[in-house]
Amino acid sequence: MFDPIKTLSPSVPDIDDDAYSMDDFEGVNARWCHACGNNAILTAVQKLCAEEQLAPEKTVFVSGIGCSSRLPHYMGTYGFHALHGRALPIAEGIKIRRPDLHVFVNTGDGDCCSIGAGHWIHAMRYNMNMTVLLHDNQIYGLTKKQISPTSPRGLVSSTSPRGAYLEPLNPLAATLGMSNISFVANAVDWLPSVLYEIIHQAFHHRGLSFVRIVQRCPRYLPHQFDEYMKDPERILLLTHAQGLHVQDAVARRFKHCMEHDPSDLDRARELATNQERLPVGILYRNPGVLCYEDVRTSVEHLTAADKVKALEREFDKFTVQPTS
Amino acid sequence: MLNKAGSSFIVNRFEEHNEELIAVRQDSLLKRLLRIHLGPPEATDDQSSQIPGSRLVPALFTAYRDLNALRYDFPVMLLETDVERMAVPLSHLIDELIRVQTPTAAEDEYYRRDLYQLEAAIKALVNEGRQQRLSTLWDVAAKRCLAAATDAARREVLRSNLGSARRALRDDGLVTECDGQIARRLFAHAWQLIESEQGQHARETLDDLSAELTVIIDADRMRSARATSADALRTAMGGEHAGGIDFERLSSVVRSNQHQSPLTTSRRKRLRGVLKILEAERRRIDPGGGNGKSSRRGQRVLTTADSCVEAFELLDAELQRMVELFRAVRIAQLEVENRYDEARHNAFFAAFDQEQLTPEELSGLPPLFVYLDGEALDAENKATLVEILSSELPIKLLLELHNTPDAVPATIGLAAFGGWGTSLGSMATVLPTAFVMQAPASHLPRLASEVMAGLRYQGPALYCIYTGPVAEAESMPRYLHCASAAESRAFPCFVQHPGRGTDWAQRFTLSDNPQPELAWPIHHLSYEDGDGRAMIDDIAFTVADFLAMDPRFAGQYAPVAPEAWHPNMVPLGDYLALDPIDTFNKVPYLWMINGNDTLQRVIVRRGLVAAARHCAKLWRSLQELAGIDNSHALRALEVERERLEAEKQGAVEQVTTTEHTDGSGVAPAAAPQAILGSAEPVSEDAGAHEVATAPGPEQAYIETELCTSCNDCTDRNSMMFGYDELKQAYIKDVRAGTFRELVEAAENCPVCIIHPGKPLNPDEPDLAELMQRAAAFN
Repeated sequence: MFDPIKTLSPSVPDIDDDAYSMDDFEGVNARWCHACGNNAILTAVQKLCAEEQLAPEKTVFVSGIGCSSRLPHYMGTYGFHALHGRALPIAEGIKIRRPDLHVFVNTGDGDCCSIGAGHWIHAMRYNMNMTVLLHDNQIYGLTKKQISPTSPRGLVSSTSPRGAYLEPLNPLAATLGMSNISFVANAVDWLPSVLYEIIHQAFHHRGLSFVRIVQRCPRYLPHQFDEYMKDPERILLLTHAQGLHVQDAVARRFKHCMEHDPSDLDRARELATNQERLPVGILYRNPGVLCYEDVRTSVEHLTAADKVKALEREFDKFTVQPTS
Repeated sequence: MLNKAGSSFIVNRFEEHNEELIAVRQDSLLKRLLRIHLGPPEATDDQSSQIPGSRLVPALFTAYRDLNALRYDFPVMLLETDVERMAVPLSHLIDELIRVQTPTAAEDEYYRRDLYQLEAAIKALVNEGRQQRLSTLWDVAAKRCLAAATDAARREVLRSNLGSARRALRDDGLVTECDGQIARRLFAHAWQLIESEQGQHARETLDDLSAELTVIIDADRMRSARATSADALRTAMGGEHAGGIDFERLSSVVRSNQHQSPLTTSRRKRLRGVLKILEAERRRIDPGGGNGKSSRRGQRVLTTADSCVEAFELLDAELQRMVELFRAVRIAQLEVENRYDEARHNAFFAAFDQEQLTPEELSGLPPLFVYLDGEALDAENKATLVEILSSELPIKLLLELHNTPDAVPATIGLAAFGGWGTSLGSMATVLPTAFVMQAPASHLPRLASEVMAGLRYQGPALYCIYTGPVAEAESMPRYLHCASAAESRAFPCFVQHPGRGTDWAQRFTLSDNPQPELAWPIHHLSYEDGDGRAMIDDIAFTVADFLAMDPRFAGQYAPVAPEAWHPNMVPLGDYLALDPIDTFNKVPYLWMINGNDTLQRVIVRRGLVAAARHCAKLWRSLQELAGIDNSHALRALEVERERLEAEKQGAVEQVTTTEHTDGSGVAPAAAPQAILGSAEPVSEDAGAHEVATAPGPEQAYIETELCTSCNDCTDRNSMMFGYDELKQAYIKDVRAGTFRELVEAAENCPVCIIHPGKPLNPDEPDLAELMQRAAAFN
């Protein structure tokens, strides 16, 4: 029966409101290549938004440049398709000014680990409350196959016809070596339930949650991750009461499944550099790290009139005076 | 000869303790000592049994005779900017300065000594009665220290060290001693900090809503006939373009392009009414207009009351105002989200009253803080106090207890130490919605976070604070008096916070007391015996040690010369631990020290022992609440232990019987193990069940939960393949496409989760080849 008092109480949700479904979080049709791993990530975040009932107008996806960074276009939320490597500082700006928004960052291995590496280090250190998804396909796909910092040694590409000379950068090991980190996880796009669970936990972590997602590029590196996809023995599933929880049916698929306490940073670093098996799960979590927005909030509270005044001040800098 | 009370006590136990009683009767010294212990203070004419005022102090106080030479929790600085560190002892600040400054090893020692010298100088200033900010006291103390330095080189080092420490000092605030006003001063300070924090939040909410409502009203005005008239547009455009534009035409164009209808009269009126209330509240919170320059921005008006009755009246008035405000806030929220439906909401808001305020909204009630003198409350205020604590109203009560001579009888009524207020704290813990904190004033700095927790708590809060005698006592500094009240269990510290959980283990804590797991705190006493040998004893600090410094109780103590010491004399802590039946031939004593630093045994009279036992009972009940040796838990443990013992005994008897019956000698305990070991086949059965319910190789299917939503199959044939509500693929209609499409979809699926099964149409071309390709995926 309809209860107007409860319905109008701020502490009780309005029963007349419709719940959001995944369709409410669909933007324009995704235009990635067939079978692209980015689709799995898109589905996972859309599912998260629906499951958590995030208001689309209170949610923003920020990206840089690259295949991965097209994701905000495909979301039915606010989005910011920023400059190459600049997704993180843009997201920080949004968060410091609007801490009430749910901020997600989608960045690629080129965007984050190359041109945006400086921002990456400091964003981790600032530990602002946002979820950062690193779509790591180990190649520049949007510009048709050039090596990225995470490309394996020997990879032949248009910029490395004789094969890549350098050992790849390990985004997990690099992040786990940074200061003030609070959440680091590794996922793969071809295990959707595990991917969702990791992103779900990342979202609920207060602080910067860094999720590196190994993402297939079927167009330019079609067999790059076959060794892991076709042989579950090469995957090391990390579970823990304080970390990743997976259904028994999923856990049974993996011969190598171990309990890993995500508060153990030294062990996390060991796992991140494991050459034998790819760790999947939550490597590190420390909920005690202070968020930057908690210690440095925007001082002045602007009213609508204040905002108009500030905008006018900015616009006046570009006034074109009519010539007489 | 024993007095009447003493002899009847002994006669009752005669049969059980016949030999001991005979020994007492034959021991004239013991009889004399028992007479001192059991007799009333005025019954003895032995002059040596009168405690000579302040010259005799409990031995454990020896180290605290000169507090100025010690570093402890006072003086304390009240920080104005840090809510979490609102009261920081000066000694902690100095330690922090020493820790953060890292001079070279050679200078390290001088630096430390110089800061300790400064700390002592600041303490001296505070003791002189100066209540000033740390920065002011620091400068005065530094000048004094420099003036006292005789060596010029040393003076320069001192100047440099103090200067560098001063530059490193980040905090400032009022520095205060543990005086009679400390509780009021500290709570007023905490209250201001909380208010500033909460007021800021309220201000921001009101700012947002006001801004949003203004936008709606402004937008409506801009659509009005007046705002879109030719004259208004001409004025808005400015004179420069006036000649080149036909404003009549522009006005008709603007009006024809308006797709939204103007606000209804009733909505406009409602919006303006609500905005007026919100603006009035904003002005009330921040009379300065919120220019952001004042450090007190966002602070609401403090409301205090001197009595519980007055507090109720004030709160009622505030409540009526808050009903109006939150009615306006809720309407504003609905209006901003464009969800206000007049048919549905008008009736609701017409009948809006305080019953409909949520706990969150009630927590926004302006502060109501009540200062109470625990020993001056009349019956009406006492009754109202209990009523407040039983309610859920956000009223905070500070009850100061002084233990004045009138409140405490100086005879056997010692059990009533602290008067009515001491019992009130314990009694209030049973009220499920009341935050209760009991502590002496000396403990307030270390309990600062609990003080804040109570002020932030949404329900009623009671702080029972023992502040010591109203007038400063010469015999003992107030800090030491208050601290020893807690140390002796006379006034234990505890906190009950209903917001921390639903059970005692979560809500109640005794952890701020010394050695909470013991009946009395135990301390080492180091001394030299008559032969000059170093001795260490562990002795308990009891309520009798605490009261020994109070002249009103002098008659309860009787010093005994060393030649009269008897083997049956027992330290009071040990005496209290004995069953009262076993104490009839024992004489309890305390170790005290006289003006010559000589240890002396002091007999404690019966009245004070009874008071100590009562005190121990109260402490024990608090321990039970805190889960320390909880009797229910111990009893349950005992029952469980007995059950397990019985089970074990039964199992042993069963084995014995079996052996006797079949004589096989095989341990029957192995049988259950074997059954447990058969879990594997059961699991296999379960696996078989899963296989049986999964689609067979004949049937096409997709492992939907593994789908990565890559669109490959759905793009291939959207009639045959579809997405479920979680955007994962399944076979929507297997007949909507060919077997070739199924096989190709399976071959192209990046995660190989499509299983084509067998073809449904036997006439489809190239079936043999397709089935061969499909076999790899079935």
